[in-house]
Amino acid sequence: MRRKLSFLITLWWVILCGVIGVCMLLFAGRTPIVSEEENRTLSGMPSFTFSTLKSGGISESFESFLTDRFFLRSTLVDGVNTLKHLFSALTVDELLNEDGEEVFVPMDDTSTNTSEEAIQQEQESDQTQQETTTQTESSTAVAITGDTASVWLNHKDGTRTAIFTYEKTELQKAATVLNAYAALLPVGGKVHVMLAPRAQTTNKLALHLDTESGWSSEVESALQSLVSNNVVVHSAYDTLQNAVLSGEYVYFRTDHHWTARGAYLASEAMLQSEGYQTVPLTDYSEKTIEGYLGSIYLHGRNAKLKDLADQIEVFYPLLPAKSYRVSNAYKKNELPVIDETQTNYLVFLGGTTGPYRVLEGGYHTGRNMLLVCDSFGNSIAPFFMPYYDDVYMVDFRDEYYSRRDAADGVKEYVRRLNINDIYIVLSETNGIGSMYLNQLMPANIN
Amino acid sequence: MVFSSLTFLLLFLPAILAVYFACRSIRLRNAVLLIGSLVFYAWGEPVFVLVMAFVTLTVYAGTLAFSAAKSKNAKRILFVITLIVSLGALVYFKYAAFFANQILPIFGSTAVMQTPRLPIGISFFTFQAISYAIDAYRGNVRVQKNYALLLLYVSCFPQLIAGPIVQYADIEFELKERHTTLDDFSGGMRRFAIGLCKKVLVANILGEMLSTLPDAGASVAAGWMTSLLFALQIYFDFSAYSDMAIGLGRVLGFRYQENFRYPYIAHSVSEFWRRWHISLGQFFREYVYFPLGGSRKGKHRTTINLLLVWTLTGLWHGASWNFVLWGLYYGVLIALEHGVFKYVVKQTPRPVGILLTLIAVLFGWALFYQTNLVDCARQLLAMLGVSYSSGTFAFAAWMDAATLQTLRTYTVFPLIACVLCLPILPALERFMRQRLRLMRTAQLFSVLLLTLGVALSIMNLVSDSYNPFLYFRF
Repeated sequence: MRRKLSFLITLWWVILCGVIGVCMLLFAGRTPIVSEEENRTLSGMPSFTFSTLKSGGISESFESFLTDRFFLRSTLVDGVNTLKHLFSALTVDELLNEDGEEVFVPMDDTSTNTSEEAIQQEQESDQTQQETTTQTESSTAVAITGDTASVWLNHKDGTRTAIFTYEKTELQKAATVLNAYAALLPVGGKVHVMLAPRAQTTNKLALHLDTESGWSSEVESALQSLVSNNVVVHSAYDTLQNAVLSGEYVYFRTDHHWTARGAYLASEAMLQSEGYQTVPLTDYSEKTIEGYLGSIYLHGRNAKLKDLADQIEVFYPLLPAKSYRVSNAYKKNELPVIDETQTNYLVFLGGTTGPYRVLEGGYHTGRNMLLVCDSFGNSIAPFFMPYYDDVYMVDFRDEYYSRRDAADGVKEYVRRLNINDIYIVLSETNGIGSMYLNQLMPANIN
Repeated sequence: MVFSSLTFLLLFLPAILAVYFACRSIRLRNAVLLIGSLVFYAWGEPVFVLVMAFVTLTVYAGTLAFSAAKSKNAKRILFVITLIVSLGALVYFKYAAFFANQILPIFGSTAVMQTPRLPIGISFFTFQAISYAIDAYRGNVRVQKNYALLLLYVSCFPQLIAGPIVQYADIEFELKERHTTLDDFSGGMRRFAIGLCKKVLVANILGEMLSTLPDAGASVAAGWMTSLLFALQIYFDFSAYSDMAIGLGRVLGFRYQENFRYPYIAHSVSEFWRRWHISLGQFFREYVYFPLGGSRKGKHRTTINLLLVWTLTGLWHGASWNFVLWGLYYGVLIALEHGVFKYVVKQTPRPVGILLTLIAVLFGWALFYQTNLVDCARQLLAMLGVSYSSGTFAFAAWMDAATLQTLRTYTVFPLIACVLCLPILPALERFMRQRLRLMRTAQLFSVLLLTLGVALSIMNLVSDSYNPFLYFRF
């Protein structure tokens, strides 16, 4: 009797698994769909072709289909994570410090191509760099005195902790890149640089105002002493400190990005240094999206972070604005400036689109700009629209930038698009010492 | 295809069991099993099915040829040719590039041979095929005249990808006649479920933990934690697969031998290897160590034989110098245990023996885990409390930030894994079964636990993605 019962239970399980499998084949969605929760496309049913069967790729794609489209997937994922986190002793602070995205990993072929044109461009850019270096040497006022420059978190007890420390060589490499971009511009053009911390860094201050008194950074002044006269290095720490100390919502808690409010302050600092009288933030109409759980939450899906859900303040352009994908310096398909279908960070510009992009704010100032950025640029770009006819954007990370699609190098783009100013806005992980910044050399991008 | 995948659990397994048990005759069942096994392998590696078929065909033709040979010399020559050709595929795919890249620089060449893509399970099915050929040569088994049956033996999906290495003699009879009772079905599936839980709920999480420790040489804790986590992960991963293979084999009517027997309670390195990957140890013992003379030709020859066997064992695990070192490490330890420390091993109290063996094994896993010799050295030094950086030695820090973060993230999980790799649960179940009034409770508890485990495993598979086994490429 016991044997039969045991057998029946086992048989029931096998049959149940089979029934679930058949139901998956019959009823699970077959076309790929975008999951907002996971911020990626969930696999659809793979095509059973001779080539996929022959290569064996069908096994991985079919398994992805089953796991991605399993019934009640989100519930199961949350359930599993809840169980895993039962073992965890990590505090909310430690969870908010966890690494997530924005780390650039170059693909194998990002080295300079060997075509004649590329070699010529390299030679030209080498020449330009030599001129730039000469310019730099003659304008150096303050040199780095030590071997390193740090960003400090100051404590209320008078001590401080280094958040980042950069070697002199890393700063010099970064300066070389910035000077190369400065050399692309016509006379009078400026390069504005801001390397912004991620929320993981900012929250060390923002969420600990009882023990922390502020930031101080040696990095920007060290970098400024190495760059040409037409490069202005802005300190995100100086710009945002007061706002953070006064409790302004300039960074998300559960996402590594700054908020639109934080992006506005950063743009304001850069534009005011350019001599512009900036439009107050209160002039913008806005909407708020509640209950946003961003990349830091999605990294581990720890339920402890649900209590810290963010809100996204979205500021609408002052005039009807349009945005287009740009390929080979020509406008292609239209893209949103504010993506009303999104309830996460993708609301800003609908996310990153490559190779280039343009925002037309409807203003006629006679000047154009190029914003070289990562996803931090998506929330800041619209604030530049009142000051430039066209705000061009480019994200040179591999998954967004296609050299073939771009056709021309960045030097050519600057010339053809009549770029007057370049703004470089990058997060800390893509900034000094990162592979991304090193890859940004125009010769490499060409 | 792997066992711990939704494709296998929800589609392949129910389908093949349904078709298999719907067939009444053994011939039909064998046909279903053979086709199913080939589909199982081809699902991920369609082209390499041909490699498996070729190795089997070589052994099939070779055994027929040498069994029909009239003279002893001819028989021996044909046997050697069979071995060489059947091993040829393994040597080419796994070792050719490694040896070529060691030898070419000696002749001043800067050419580098690319490692060809390795057919999954090639080490396992090649060794199975060879074991059949050797047993046929020795007359221990009858030569199989049916290629399909031989291919079934080599390719049977429960043990195809990661063992255990099944000797032909063990299933020779079962190929032609086997039955599955109700107990076999439920017992086999129960064993499969236990293996699935070990793999998905324990081994995979240990793997996650290990991936959060980027630098095993960062501190003493990092060195030991890396070794310990890897020791646990590889045990749960590999023994889980063996459990699933043995369980499925039982469901299908095959009786496979045990492959793991709680190795971490061994009180000597020799005993460890009688409890760890038992089928591999048996293979090398029967087909390499004994033919070399074993321990019958004096102490020196025994030592040489042991070192040779263990070098080959290390090489079997991977074409890399760290695996060779790992094998030699055990060869030296076992040679010492058989030699000068024989008396010491016998007299050492069991708890002390277990502790010393564990320490030795953890050092061994550091050699196995780090494929880069520099990283390996750093980890070993860190385990000894020494750090090496820019040419200078110093005392290693006790703890580093990454290790502390890992411990805080997973807290007691490694401890639970340590407890689970001891024979505590089976002992508890035996205790409960022996007391009549607890027998039903034991059964109910067992069923509930396994049901929960399987459900959690499926949930985990949904929330994870692709799940390869560690021993996949051997």
